[in-house]
Amino acid sequence: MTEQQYNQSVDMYADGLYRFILKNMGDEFEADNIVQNTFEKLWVRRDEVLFEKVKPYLFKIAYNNMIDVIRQNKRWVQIEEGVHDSELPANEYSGLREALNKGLERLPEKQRTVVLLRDYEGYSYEEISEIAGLSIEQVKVYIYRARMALKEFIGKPEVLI
Amino acid sequence: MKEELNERELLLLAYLEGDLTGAEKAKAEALLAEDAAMMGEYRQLKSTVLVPETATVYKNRAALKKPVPVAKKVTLRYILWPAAVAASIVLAIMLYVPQNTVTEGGVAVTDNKPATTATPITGDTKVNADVAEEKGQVENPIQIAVSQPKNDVPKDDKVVMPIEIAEVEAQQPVIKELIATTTLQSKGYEIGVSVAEPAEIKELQIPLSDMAFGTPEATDKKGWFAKVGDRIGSLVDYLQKPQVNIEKQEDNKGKDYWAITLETEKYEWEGRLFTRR
Repeated sequence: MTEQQYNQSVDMYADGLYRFILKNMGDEFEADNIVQNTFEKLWVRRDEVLFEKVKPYLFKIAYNNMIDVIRQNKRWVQIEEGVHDSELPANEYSGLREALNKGLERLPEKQRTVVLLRDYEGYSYEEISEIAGLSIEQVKVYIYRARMALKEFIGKPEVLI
Repeated sequence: MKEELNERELLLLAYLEGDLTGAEKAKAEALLAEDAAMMGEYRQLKSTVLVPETATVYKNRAALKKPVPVAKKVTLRYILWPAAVAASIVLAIMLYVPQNTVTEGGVAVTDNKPATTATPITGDTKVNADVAEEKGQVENPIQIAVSQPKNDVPKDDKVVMPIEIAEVEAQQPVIKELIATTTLQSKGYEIGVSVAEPAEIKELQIPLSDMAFGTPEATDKKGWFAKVGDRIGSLVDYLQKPQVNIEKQEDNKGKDYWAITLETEKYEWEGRLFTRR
């Protein structure tokens, strides 16, 4: 990849990468750091990365970085199955989009990651499996479970009011 | 968590994600039309598809970008450059150099305090820090002195060695940035450029382009090392009135090196010149 292509990659993918990390972590500062670190790594290894493959490369680096940060901060709340009813504040969400966002926050990390990669970035199952280090079958399961959890969440009367 | 989806779940997912072929899609739609519960579930699942929030953008995008190296043009000034340097040296000696000028190692050495003005160090120039201060403000671009290796001489502080200049090309300012690149021309030495405050790297956009990576030998600072002959990258966003200070120091292993400090109004870079042994 040339220097020009690197800069082109910044233009093409910085926003999407930032949104992906921000949606996952909900922390602008951390998202900013991860985006910077990711592109710095790309810059260092630009000679080894093909421009055609740069997008999955960026997302994989960012994803791994994000996981490291989450583990370091130890602030991740794992919710393996569904959502906890006790955590749902009543009458808080006025719109479907906001409800989805809140539901997204409550998803387990893997589920949130795969559904964001799918919906935000339009990645195929194969690409998601490569980025997140999952099998294609696992990707499908996580996406389906994520959608079911979101469906359950936004279907709650207190959420939709 | 169950690791597999059943046939019904797979069908719903594939239909939702648009992964079915024409025939499969028609079959799925027929099934959905027959099964109201399944259709209801599909509609609910469909409502969970997220829409990217395109209004959310990365605000520091410009800071991620790197300057693209400009191909070096061979112009008349390169041909005339040695002559211009020589003329400057003669003029400088005639005007400023007192008779008790001291030179160490062929490189002008300061007395541990930064020069107050830009002080290009040139080959065969015999000036010390005091003289540099007397010269007043100099508008020349930054130049980094790199001592020329010389065989058969003892590695002694007092050995006078010729100096070769690594010229810094100042290009036109790009918005608020002034881009400069330099190419080390000496052979047989390594020059290490480290940043006094690594945290500034992102802000400074020191791109390290074309820089060969190596072991940051004999330095405890985060830095990047390039072999002589390599471009050492661009120094971006350095401001006017750069101060250049070169002094001999000793690292924690007792190894001598030339510490090169480029100081501007806002930032400071520190480079180390080691003798390859």
